[in-house]
Amino acid sequence: MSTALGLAVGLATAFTSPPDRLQGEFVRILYLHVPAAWLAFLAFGVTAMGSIGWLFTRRMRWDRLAEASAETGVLFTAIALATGMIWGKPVWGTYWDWGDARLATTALMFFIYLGYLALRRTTTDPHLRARRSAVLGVVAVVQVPLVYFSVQLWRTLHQGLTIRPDGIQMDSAMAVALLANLGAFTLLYLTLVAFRTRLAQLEEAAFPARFVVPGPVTVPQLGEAET
Amino acid sequence: MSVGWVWAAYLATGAILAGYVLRLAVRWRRATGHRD
Repeated sequence: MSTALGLAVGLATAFTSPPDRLQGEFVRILYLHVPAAWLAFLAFGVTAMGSIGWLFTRRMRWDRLAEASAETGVLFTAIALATGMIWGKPVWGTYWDWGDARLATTALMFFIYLGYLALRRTTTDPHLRARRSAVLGVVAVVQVPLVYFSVQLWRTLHQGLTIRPDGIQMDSAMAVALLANLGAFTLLYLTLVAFRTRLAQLEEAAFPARFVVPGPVTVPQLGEAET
Repeated sequence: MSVGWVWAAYLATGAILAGYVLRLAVRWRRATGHRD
């Protein structure tokens, strides 16, 4: 409920904030693009925390948290990529440019976390799955600072950091709209992760066959009697 | 300047979110014993 309210307030501020001096109405895409990207960073950070939690405690709740957060992070990265491409076409003249460091590193992050979700499907053994994905969950998080600072490390097409230690380089009405949407996306993230974690628990109870340790593989030999 | 791009961005976000939430809802129904 509060998530729906937050999204409504976010939308209202996004459409009542002033147009940009250079970009005009296109700046309204910012209120989706930036919160989605930030929440993706947070989500992958939480996945790393859940992974570390599992490695230390071996409790499955940490594994469920890591999985739920990774899936939500992939969702938010998809939103950031889609809105970024739609923004890029009218403003930069292109949907995509592989020469841009921010775009390339974000795409890499997106595919590696898709790989994380694929890796989770490679076994039905819950502990093996948790161990494999926890290792990847910890290693993969190095991409978050890489993507974030890519605009400073390589000065290419994407603009630099707007919120810096020396202040926010933005009109206050726009900053308010951005913060409102950031709040709304945070509530959305929390709701989705809570829902997804609960769903994992329900599925474990409903489909026990999907969560078993596979027995040794026996290959029938030629001429062997069927038992 | 066309505001069509702005609408496209909001619609794309809505579509991605709606698709994911729908998928979760279907899995939730199955896990709680509904047959479809």
